[in-house]
Amino acid sequence: MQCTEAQTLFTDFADNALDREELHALTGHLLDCRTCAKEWREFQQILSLMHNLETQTPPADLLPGIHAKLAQRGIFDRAWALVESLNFSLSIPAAAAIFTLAMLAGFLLKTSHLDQPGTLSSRPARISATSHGELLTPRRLPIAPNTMFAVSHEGGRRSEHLAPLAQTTPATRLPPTDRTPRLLSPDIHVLIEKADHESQVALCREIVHHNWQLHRITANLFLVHLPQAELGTFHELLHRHHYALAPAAAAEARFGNGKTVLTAAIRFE
Amino acid sequence: MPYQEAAQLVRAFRHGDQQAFNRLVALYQRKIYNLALGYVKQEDEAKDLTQDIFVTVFRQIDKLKDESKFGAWLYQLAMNHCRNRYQKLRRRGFFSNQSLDDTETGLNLSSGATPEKEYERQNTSRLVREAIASLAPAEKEVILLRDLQELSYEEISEILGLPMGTVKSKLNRARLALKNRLKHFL
Repeated sequence: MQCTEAQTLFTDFADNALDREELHALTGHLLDCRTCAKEWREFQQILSLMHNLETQTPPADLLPGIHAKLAQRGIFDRAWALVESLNFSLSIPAAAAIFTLAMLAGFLLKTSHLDQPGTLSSRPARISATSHGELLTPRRLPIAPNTMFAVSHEGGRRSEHLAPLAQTTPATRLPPTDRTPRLLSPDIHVLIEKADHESQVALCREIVHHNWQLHRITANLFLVHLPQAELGTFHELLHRHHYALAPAAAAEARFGNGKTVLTAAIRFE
Repeated sequence: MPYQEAAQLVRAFRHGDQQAFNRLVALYQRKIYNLALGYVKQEDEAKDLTQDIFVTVFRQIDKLKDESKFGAWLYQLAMNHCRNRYQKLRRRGFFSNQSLDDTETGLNLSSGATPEKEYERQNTSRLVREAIASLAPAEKEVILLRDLQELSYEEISEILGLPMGTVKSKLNRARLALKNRLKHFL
């Protein structure tokens, strides 16, 4: 038996766990090898020292300290336990990167034109059409119902369907700055009733024919940009339909508050 | 190991008996404190570490699946805490200025000096503890669990998640390493 092999058996020897052959070989080696015999004696001394170590008494304030920590960390620990229960395994750099990206995305969204009041966005919620036919621009106050103006080539009777439109806020109340995207701040809201698909297509063709920009927001909601000078022509197109518009001043050909281009939101009912 | 008593206390604690938690602490605090002390050497650190371990027990007791295995679960928790604290302290250089050669802690057992018996016994204990604490974590853990905590190989195997043969071979290497560290004092 080699010395290195003999020393690997010391623990089993001390535990009396060697089989007969190993025991015979080791004891024979220890009788022959003074170095290993000394190593074995020291090994036994070390075991004796460790086994005779007295355990130390914990400090008397151990338990009160535990309760103090529990009270101190109560809220934090519950939150942390919740995080741990999610079984996340993110490294700190990865978590920091995600946090930074989230903050950046939030900042960009906040400062983006897409988030401006009345801005046309790919998200229809900014100018949304509800089942009641309302055009909602959430950041604006509703105008009073008496600011509504409804016309109809069928005698100018006010339709019961126009009531919800009274809640629509005219974009003309916004300060007409260069930074306010015209597309997204309709100057005129138009509700066209009893419009079938053919009449919708016809109106759209007329609009395109006049080289006005036409944007389809939903199946029933369109935005049109037209020169203010051609507002009268726009009125003529509308006169072919049963319609209403807001604000009342938009029924006038000179409406526009000095703008050269107007935006009209057209909703088909 | 008072397995049955621990299991009953765990059950009671899970049912809202806060006193049961206090009794669990009383039952295991000596073992866990000495385990922590063996790991980090310093008493204040060991106390803080022990408190943190029991705070975690309080918080995470619902994660224990088998109440009869509370002891092994507690030791696993404790070992994880000890490893983390050890790494943290080592990064801060906590162990760099402490060694077996420190005049404050060193004691030549074979010098034949005449300190009082008690003084000699206490210093021998401290020397051995510090030698254990200075071992590599993998060696230290098996020594602490087997020779100081007196756990069985099966228990150590479960706590460390190692096969029993590996535990035995690690233990033998750790004991030989410890012997070499204390050679001058034997």
